[in-house]
Amino acid sequence: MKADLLIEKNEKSLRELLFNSSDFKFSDFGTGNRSYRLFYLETMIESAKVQDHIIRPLLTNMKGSVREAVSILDYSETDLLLDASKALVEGKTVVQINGEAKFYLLGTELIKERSVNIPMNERALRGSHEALNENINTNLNMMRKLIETPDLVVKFFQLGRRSKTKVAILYLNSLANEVVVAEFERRIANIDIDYVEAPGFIQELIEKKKFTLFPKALVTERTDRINSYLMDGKIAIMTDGSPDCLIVPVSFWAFFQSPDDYQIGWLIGSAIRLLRILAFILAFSLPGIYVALVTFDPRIVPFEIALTLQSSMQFIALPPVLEAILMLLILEILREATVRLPSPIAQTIGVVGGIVIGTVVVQANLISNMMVIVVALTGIASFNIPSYEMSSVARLLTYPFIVMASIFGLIGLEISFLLLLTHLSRLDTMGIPYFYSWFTADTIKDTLFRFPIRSLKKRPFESMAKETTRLKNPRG
Amino acid sequence: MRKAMLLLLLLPLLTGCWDRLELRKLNLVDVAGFDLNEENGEKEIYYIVSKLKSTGQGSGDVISQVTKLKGASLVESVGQGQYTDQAPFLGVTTGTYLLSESFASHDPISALDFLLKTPYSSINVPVVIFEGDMAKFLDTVPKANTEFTTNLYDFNKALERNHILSNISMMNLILSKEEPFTDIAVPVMKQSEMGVELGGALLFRQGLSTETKLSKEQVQMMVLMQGTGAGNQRYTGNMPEKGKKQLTTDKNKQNNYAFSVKNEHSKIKFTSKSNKLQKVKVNVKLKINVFDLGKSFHQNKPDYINHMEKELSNHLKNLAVTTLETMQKANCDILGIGKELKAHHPDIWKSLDWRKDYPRMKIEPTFDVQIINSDVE
Amino acid sequence: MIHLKKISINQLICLVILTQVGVSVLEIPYAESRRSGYDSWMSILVGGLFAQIAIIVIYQLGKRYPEQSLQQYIFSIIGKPLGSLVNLLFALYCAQSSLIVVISYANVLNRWVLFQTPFYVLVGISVVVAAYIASSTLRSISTITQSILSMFLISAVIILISGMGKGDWRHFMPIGTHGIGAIIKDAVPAFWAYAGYELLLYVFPFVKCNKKKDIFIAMSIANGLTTLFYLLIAIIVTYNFSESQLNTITEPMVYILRKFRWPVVQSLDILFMTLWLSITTVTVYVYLFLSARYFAFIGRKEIRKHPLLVWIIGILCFTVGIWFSDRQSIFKFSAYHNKATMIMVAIVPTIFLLISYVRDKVARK
Repeated sequence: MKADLLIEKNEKSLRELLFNSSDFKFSDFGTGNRSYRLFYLETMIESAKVQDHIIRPLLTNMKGSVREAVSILDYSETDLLLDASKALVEGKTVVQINGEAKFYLLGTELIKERSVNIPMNERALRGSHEALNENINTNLNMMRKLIETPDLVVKFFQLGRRSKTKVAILYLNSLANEVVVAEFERRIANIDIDYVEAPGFIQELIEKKKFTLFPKALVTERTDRINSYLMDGKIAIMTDGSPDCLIVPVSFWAFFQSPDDYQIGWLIGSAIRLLRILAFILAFSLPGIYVALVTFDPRIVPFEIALTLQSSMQFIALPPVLEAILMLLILEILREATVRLPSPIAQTIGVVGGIVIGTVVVQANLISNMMVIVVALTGIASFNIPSYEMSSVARLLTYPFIVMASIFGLIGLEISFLLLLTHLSRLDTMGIPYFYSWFTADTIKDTLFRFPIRSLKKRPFESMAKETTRLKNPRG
Repeated sequence: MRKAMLLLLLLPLLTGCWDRLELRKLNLVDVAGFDLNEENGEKEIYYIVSKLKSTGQGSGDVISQVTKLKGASLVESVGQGQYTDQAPFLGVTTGTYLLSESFASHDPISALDFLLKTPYSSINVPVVIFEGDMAKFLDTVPKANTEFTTNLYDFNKALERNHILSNISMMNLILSKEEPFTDIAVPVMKQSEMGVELGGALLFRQGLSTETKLSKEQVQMMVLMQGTGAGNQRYTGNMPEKGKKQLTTDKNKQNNYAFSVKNEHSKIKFTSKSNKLQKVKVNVKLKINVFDLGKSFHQNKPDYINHMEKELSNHLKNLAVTTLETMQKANCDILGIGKELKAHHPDIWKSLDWRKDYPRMKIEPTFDVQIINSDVE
Repeated sequence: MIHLKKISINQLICLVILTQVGVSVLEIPYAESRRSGYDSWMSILVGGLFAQIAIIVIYQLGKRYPEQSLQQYIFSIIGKPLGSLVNLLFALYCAQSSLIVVISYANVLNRWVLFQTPFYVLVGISVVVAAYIASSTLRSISTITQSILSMFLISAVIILISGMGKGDWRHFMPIGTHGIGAIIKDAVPAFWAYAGYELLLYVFPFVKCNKKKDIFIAMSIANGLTTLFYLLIAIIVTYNFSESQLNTITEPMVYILRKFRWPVVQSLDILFMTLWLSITTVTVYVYLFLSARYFAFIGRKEIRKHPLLVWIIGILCFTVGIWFSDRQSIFKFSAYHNKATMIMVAIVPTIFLLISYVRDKVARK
């Protein structure tokens, strides 16, 4: 609909378009032959800007056009009411000269955001402590500061019919694989949804339909990690309103890497990396191993340990399988509760949950000592993994393993391992394999171990980068 | 993925879970004793089952219970175990097998060889022969001494570790019947207060007991001649006076000796003429750490050490000769002379009929002792 | 979409080693010592040599048609109808191989680890797992196989540790007295133990390499490592048991594994047999995969539905396999299969190679 010459008519139409929102305001000023009316949402504009850069120059410069008078960067003109209403909602000020059927849209947005803080959920001992925040422009500013090269490409998309969320894709043009980039852009552009709540929505919508537990994109809020992944040739997807950034395409091993591996020396870094992978395997298989040993194959256990196990289980009524599943469920309940606790109560509930339940349940002869040890170790081992999504997967995988172990014993565990391995090997992100073996000379350098920097000559396989060498002569 | 999981889940849901062996319902057999009842020819099995009671805070008491099972053969007796109220017994945790002497002298291996093919059986644990009345022993001792089973197990391990006498596992015992030239010496224990002590070794020839026992000194000699004597073990004894053959009973004039072997090397040499065996020589070279050697050891006289080395070598040789005589009379080739001959001199081997010729063979041991920790030059 | 079709040399080596090593690890060297006694280790070496010769033949055959696998170039060697027949025979042979590995190992498990589980459940599980894996692409299969190599290494370490200990080197002596004839005759039952390299007939065009000669070196290395492994087992067994003792024990490795006692774990034979299940599963799924690929080329066009074929063959194997719960029938089946292996793996490719040479010469004239 076109603008009208009369200010009052426009005001009525705009108010209708905004459904009579109470923060829609207007202000008139002008002298003699020219009067201006400013339309704005009072909650969205930065009043200082409007006063200094719009009202004052217009008041002093009566003769010229709005463009010559106003000193605002973001300037555009329109004569459609719909565009004006969209601009109002974005925080722009709409100026109309009485008698002209033209709107001038001037950018005066007020930005309120949380300051750049330390990462809440991804702590590392060594490394920068800068995290993304909810405003996408601040985030892009931080990323561009880290990678000050024209090679870094930023592309914007607007998703969501009603929410109009801004989504940005970042990649390094000389490194990222063009086929992969084109495919991701196509998929994002094809998303047709009402509103995007979290980057998790985007993650699910751009993946294929294959059913899998494993996360196919890495979520991070640290800028140094995004930096290193971009340098590997991967693609980062940021969403406005959320401090989480998605990294694609990612492999299974990327979930076990953490920035402080590279800061500490390579020997200790390798040991810790190995420990993490061991913790992952323990996290899903330890209760299964215990159940298999105690129910099926006590022959493997030497005599002294068998005596100890037997005595700890003597007066317990439940069979070991049910004990295991029950204790794991209690652990999950505790974990979920601690996430939602308000801070004053957190300590007390920690004591109640952990110590009281753990001790009293053993004294009441419901659960054996060994089971509490096993389950506690499982829980803690699963939190060793740097990525929260992966540790949830590990905890969830425990249940089918326990069930298989209680039906077939150690053979059942073996078969479950094989099936898990197969499932991992069949996953792929658009043809790029998700899981590759650590046994080749190139891949073992950054998966199980962390070899010295001078030997990490090639970029990881899954980024399919255009140029794979990253070191020529590191020591000169 | 979905198809595989569905199919896998279907299989067990159709029936039940088989092969369950719940640990808390098992009775773990600690020591298994086999006895032969001379009167009615029945084989008796004694299971000593151990449990831990009143555990907590890192402590616990071991309680042992003895169950007696009878049957016409060993396998039947084991089968009887299913009908007692203590079943099931798990044999795989057995730490020691105790055979009574009467059981051992009546072809034990054909009664025992079902153990090789049975599931849940423990075949790599030491076998020990018990000298005395096993029934009475097992009735009284485990109840009175709760540490008995652990002590027995540790004792056997210590025998092996200190190279006093190497363990014979059940598998070795059963398989020795198949190999015609494997002869073994099984440790013999006898009761001593609330436990057992080593009484020697019983010689087995090709799976049958020879009824001949070696005494403790002879066991020491056998170990030295086999070449495995180096270690912590102390060899002690009494040497006769110079020039005399018999040991003097006068306490003041006794020549005591005590040493431990640091290094030893034993080699079997054959001298033959025109493909016929004449003599077998067992050369043992010992390097020993001596703690006590004769009356004047601590007086540090210069030539004393060389002189005593020769005395000691002579004495050891005499002991070895008597040991070899016992072995030859029992027709038991523990030292593996036959195997050595077969491996290195196949022609001579072919000209002999080993079982007939062994008792008559001339075997000469020689000892060459070298004392390496002497204080004197 | 990115399509990765080729496998690397490393993956080829892993595939061949793990396909070659199968159930027979528990029985070596019983079958090879019937006539050669304590010289069975030499029979094993000779068996490895036979396998190497067969590899040379297959490599030469593959080199003549470097861009196609056997199913495709067979038509240009002996023509359409005979070619389809040969593909069918190979498919049946591969299905039979996987079947015999499944039932042999299910039988071993039934006797030593899971006693009361019904036979059909064990066979069913093995077939389901193998069919699920075999229905993936060649690249996924090689990734899985590379990861299983670590389990193989752990098993090898377990064997080494339990094998050392009390034994007697004199069991080997005097060396070589059994005679060359006996040694070579006893290498024949080992032929099936080494079979596994015939996957090169299919895989040849899919290997990423700079020179074709690299493939030959890789296959030889794989065969050499397998020979070394079997040799190690034969040596350990002969070290521990003498010849006459070996006559009574058909599965000597199990007793050797039981010897070892740690404070933390005893009865290593159960642990070993559980780990070894994955290695035998490798053999099963590789053969299942090959069988489905051969089936796909029987008709005029290539049948594209690979997972469907795999599952059909798997179900067929299951229905045949449940009749074999009796150990005697397994022995008879193995003896027959050994002969079939010799024909299909050694004689048939040689015939093809010769025909191919002759055709070339005729064409040049």
